[in-house]
Amino acid sequence: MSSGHRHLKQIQNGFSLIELLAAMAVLAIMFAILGQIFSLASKSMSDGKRRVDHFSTARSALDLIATDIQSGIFRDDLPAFRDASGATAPVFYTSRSGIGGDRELSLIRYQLDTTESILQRGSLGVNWAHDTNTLPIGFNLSSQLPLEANISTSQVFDVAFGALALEIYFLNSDGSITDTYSSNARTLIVSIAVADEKNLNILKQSGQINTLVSRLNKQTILTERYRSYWDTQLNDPSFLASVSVPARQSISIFERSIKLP
Amino acid sequence: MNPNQSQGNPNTESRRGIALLSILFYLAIVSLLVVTFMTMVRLERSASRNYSQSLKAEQFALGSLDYVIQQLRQQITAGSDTQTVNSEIIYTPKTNISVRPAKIGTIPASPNLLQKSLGDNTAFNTAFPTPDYDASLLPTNLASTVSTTTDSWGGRSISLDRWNRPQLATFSQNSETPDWVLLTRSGLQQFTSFASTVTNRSSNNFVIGRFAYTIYDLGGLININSAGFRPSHELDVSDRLDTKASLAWADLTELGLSGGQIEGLVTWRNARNSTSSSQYTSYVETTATESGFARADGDLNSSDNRFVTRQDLIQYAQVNGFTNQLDLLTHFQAHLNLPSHSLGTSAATENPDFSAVRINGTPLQRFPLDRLKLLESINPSITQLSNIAAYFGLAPVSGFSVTKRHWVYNQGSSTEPIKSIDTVIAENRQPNFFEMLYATLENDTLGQDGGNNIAYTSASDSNKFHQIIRIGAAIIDQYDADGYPTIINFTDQSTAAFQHYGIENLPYFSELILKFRAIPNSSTPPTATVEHYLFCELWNPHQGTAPANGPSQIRVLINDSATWRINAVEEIGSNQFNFGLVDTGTFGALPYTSIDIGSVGNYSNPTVINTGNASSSYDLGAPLIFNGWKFTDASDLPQLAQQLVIDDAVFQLQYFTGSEWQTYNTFGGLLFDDGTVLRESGIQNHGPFYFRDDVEEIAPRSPERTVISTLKSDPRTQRFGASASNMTWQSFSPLNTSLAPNGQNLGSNNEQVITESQASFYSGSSGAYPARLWTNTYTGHQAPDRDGVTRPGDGFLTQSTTNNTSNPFHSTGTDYRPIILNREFRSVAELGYAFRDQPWKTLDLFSADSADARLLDAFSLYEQTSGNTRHDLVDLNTPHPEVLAALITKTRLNPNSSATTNTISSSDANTLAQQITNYTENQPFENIADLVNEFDDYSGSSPSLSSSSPSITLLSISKIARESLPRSLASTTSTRTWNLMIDLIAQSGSYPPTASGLADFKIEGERRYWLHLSIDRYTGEVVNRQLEIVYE
Repeated sequence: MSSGHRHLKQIQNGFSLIELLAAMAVLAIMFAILGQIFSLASKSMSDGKRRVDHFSTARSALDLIATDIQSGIFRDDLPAFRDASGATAPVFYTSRSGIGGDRELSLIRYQLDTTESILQRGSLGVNWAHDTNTLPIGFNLSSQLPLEANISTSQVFDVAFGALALEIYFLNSDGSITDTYSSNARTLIVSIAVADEKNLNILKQSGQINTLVSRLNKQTILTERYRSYWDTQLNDPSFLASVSVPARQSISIFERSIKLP
Repeated sequence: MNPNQSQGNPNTESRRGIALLSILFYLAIVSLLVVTFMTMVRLERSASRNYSQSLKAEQFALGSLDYVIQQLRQQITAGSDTQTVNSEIIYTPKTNISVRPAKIGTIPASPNLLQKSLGDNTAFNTAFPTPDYDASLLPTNLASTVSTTTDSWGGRSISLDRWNRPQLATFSQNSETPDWVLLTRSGLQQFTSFASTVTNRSSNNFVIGRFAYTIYDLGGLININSAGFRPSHELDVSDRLDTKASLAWADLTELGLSGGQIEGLVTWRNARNSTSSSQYTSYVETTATESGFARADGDLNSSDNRFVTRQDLIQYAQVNGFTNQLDLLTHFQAHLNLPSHSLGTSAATENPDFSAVRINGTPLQRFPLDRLKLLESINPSITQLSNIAAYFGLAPVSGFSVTKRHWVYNQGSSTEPIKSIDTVIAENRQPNFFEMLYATLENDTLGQDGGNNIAYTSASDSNKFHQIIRIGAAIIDQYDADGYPTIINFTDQSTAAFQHYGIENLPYFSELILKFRAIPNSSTPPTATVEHYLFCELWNPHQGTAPANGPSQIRVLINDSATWRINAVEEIGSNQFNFGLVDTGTFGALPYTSIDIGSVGNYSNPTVINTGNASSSYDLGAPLIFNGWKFTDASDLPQLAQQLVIDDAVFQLQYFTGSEWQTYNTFGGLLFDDGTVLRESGIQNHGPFYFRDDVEEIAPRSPERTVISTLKSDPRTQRFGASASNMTWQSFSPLNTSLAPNGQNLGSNNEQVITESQASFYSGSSGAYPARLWTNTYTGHQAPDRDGVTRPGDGFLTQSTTNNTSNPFHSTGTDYRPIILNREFRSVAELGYAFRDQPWKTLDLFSADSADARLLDAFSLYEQTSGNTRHDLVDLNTPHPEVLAALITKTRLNPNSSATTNTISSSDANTLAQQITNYTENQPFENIADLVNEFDDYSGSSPSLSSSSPSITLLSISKIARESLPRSLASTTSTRTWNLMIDLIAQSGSYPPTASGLADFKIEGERRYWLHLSIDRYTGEVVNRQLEIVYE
């Protein structure tokens, strides 16, 4: 009898099949729910990271440009936002020292390394002993900054990764917007398109990067703000059909208006 | 086994432990995630907050700058009388005090400091006294009483060194620094003591930021981007230093800079344009002036340089060792190159308030004198003719050539021979040269004639428009390099057309002389053959010599229709006389109507013509062989008296153009004592000429006599007529000194006495002394202007001297004679050389009563192709005598003297500059014209220099020397524009709840800006600005 009790007790201490099945079912449901939660969290985290990535990239770039603009030298007799060839470009003098110069004056140039998708900042310092006979600063020129061509690669540094496109244009005192700088310009508008690091790598590996960048082109004639222009370009149905949705969604466009001093 | 022992079953206990561990593990993970998340959030929040505070501080600082600018505009409003022109409000300073910004919280040793944020309301309010400001329009002081040097929450403050960083003032004590202005949720509020509401986020008094500022006067500083020249070029550019056309010719050594420092500075700054002195001069007078020195010069191959910010300038000064001069230097300045002078509302129609003139919304422009170069064109192109018409209202007359500068003024109308500014506005154009003169010269001083007693005064003399044309022609001839007088046909519609001539370095009619010679016969009773002669005396009263490019041959011409007649009185019985015509004829019937004198000659002293092809000569023995016209009465009758009468005559002085004779000076219109006025119609320059000699008791007196002469007060004009003088034979004197007998001693009463045909303003019944118009100071022998004011003549400053050479009549001392420049103007004040078409008066830029001082405001030297601002000027009200001394020193007292001693020395320049700054400290100049109208103080009917006028002896010797002061400052200074630098520090943040004092502000963000600003005092418009961010 005693062994029978023990056996009975053992049986009573176990789980019935039903209980096991029920427990497994509950566990399965819980794992399913947790998996979903983790998946959502992961996706959310990934999206958040991407957004933060975009925001950080764009903000750091735009902040830097804004800081430089605030100490920019914009005079009637000194061209700005013109490169050595005369094309509109984020090139201007600032009242801060630059690389290789002993004077509180330097030429700043922002440029895109399209191969690496990096926004770069070049800085050419000006010396007091600067020989203006051989390397004119650009006074009295209206459409080009000759010293711009002298910014060497050693004076260029990466400032933001994931930058795919950069355009500038100007809001003038009469309310018009133009893609060339004049003394009537009151506000510089900087548009930048960025991709997060992870998707950038995916885009590069998939070869879709070139297709994307080709849509972030410069307007032949400035008719609208680049933010809306690039948005339209990226959301064009024919374009969307040619790239994956993640590829499209990996691009963010930022625009900042910077008041010219 | 006891079933209860199952509770002690190791397996069961183990499972329970795992669950606990699991729970703890999960809790730990969750806690870690939460902590990490919270940390990230906090960091992100902190970063975002810092970023937002930074942006907040930036926006706050920019907004604060706008507030300070608005405060300045309110000060302009409160200190002005306003008028609205085309919907634009013009702010005319109420008084001289409100011409410049008020001074709030200044430091005596730092005159650049104009204002600062100051919590002391008493000091704030006393800065705006009545009646200089309208108290109801003044801004409210919003600064709190907490100093920026007081530690804030966390111990931060603005140190003295930080406030001293611009190096425009020296703050040596905390009490001298600015106070904070607090920004609350409801705007700026003044707090004189701590209130707990400033910490309460729900209160409108909750403070969200604060700022403090100083305002510096940059206008009184030297713009180092424009000023100075290479000392090694000084000798080569000495003619530019003579008159200061620009800050480029300022002597920076007066600021304490060494020659080496200046040499290095200019060489660096003007690397492209300072290799040679001629290159630099060309740059200054063309490239730089075209933009008013706004632009640096350069191209793809080379470039000048510029200081682009004040920090840039400070760094250069530190590198080159002249930081002590930084409070005298600026890199930023802009002055509106627009006129603003007003004579008051009573003169507004003809002499308008320049600041209120708007032409299609555009301000009245200063007339650039370099447009006069257009009139030098040899063969003006169509474009040049179009510009000449637009700028001068002139068109060439047929026969116009290099040697015959003959124009017609054709921009007048039937009602306005020269149009007023009101008409010009209606025609929607800027005024031409003559219209500008009309608007500028005080009209009620023009058109003065000799009065009723001199009916022979030309009709054109009493018409102000003719005088303006003559003044204009004289200015043109000062500017052009040639010696050919400008000729302008002009009609005032009310009289016949006239031909007016400019004034060149040429001989002019000074006197006409009738002489007779009686050749007694041996008959009884005695008879005589009487010869009458008519001679012309010429005089070039100017200094220097005529340019080679000018007339070489001149002649005197009398019109054919002029008649002569000899009347004789014959004794036909005891006390019985017969007065009858003996002989008569026309000049046309004589062998010559003209006397070709030949070479222009010297004529530096009044000289009767003694060369040429005269019809007859009168030989007193060499060199007194005079050429003139001879009229002989050969009747050989016993005569007591004879009389030669010349009628209907106008004498003309002409030069040979190479193909024809051209008149440039006339003499006619004398009315003798018989009351006859003869009008001659062929010549339209002046009225007729009629005079006679009266020969009494001929024989057996001395064989020759000058019986009568008729002379001008000034050979260049016949205004006030030509006076006739009966010269008694006892006082016969050499002809060439007849204008100023007795050795040219004008200080005595031995001057030429005129007993006939006195102008109405001569009060003496016994005779007049027209030569006294040289000084125009002798009671009874002064010519007042039409407004009744007697203004000094060119010789005024010499009157107190005992040096008899100090007058234009002296035969050897010529320094006091008028000057013909025959070159471009290098200072607007060189207009003071131009003849005013009144005896011995050039345009007056030296006397307090000057009616011409507005010229300094209405005209500029150079045409600007871009903009209305000049960057090579200094505020005339500068507090720094060193700055003015840099402009005044080396200015030439007399352009005809090359001696270095003839320039203003450094010592004298500093004395003058100190006197000016002493004067303007309490009574700022409102306009550059005030340099003439206010700095000298004349009083009483006989003007005398007051104690406020320059004590420099060299400047007191003549008008020309005295005007060296305006010559140095007229084109280098300005008063219209405020040039300021606002040094502003703005902090974002708040008062923590535990704050207990106004100083306990918790700083979260800070920005500092130096805003360079140019504000038009008359419109409040910001005409130029540069925002300079300051990194510390």
